[in-house]
Amino acid sequence: MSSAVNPDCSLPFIFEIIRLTLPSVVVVFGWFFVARLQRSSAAKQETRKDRRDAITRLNIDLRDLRNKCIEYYTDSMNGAILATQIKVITEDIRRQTDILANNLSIPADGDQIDECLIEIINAATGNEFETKNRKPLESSDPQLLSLFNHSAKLLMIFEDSFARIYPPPKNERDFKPG
Amino acid sequence: MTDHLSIAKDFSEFPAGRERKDGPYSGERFREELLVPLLRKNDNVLEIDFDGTMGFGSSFLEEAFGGLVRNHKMGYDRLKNHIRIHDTRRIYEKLVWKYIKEESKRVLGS
Repeated sequence: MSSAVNPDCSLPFIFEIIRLTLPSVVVVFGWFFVARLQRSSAAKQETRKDRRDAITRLNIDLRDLRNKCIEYYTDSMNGAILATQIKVITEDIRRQTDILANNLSIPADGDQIDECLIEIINAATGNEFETKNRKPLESSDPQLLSLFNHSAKLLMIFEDSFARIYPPPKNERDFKPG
Repeated sequence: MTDHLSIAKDFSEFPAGRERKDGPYSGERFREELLVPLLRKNDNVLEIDFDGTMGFGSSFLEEAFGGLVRNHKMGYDRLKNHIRIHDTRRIYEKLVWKYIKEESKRVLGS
């Protein structure tokens, strides 16, 4: 007996099998593709939200630092507890800044970030910080103004970088008030 | 040869203040009792570990390291050759060299 398959019989059979199974295969692949697309889109949304939250947290800490520094420096009677709080918040800001700079991949602005951070630390904990001969400062003193300016600058670096990575929808960008 | 100095272990986990009158773990005390004797002892490189502390006030760092230039006339170049800073937070190392450089320019003109 010959083991060769008669091509006249097998070809229509194969086509028939393909005809019957193709829709199911297409549906399964389609489902798989859409599911992957959705998962990837959800992950991107999640990352975007995490980074937005991180910038918001940094903003809250910077504002907190500004308020604590005003309280500490404008009244020389405010002492050790406030100084410790200022150091703790400064540490938090430093840590968050490191994480954000890594997450938003800003190597080109790295020096600018460090520069801002150094000025913030300097203004918050420099000069007469934790000293006995501390004199109260005006709220418009250059030391405090430097803190305000560099806080705003640091935040702007991250906001700009965030907007570059996650540009707002076109219709939102085109919106002109008035 | 390298000498090691850990601020947290050999001095305090809570360094604070500028001068001795500001508290027991001031920058001045750190400089006079630990830094200067170790730097004067020999020509070894001094590796200073900044980790393990609850942050630093700039006033502490400026007094401790800027004070090396101001009070002991140790210039930026000499200190750069003799001090290695280990700081996983990175930023305090930058602050220290900034203070040393600024004081070197101001006091020694270099």
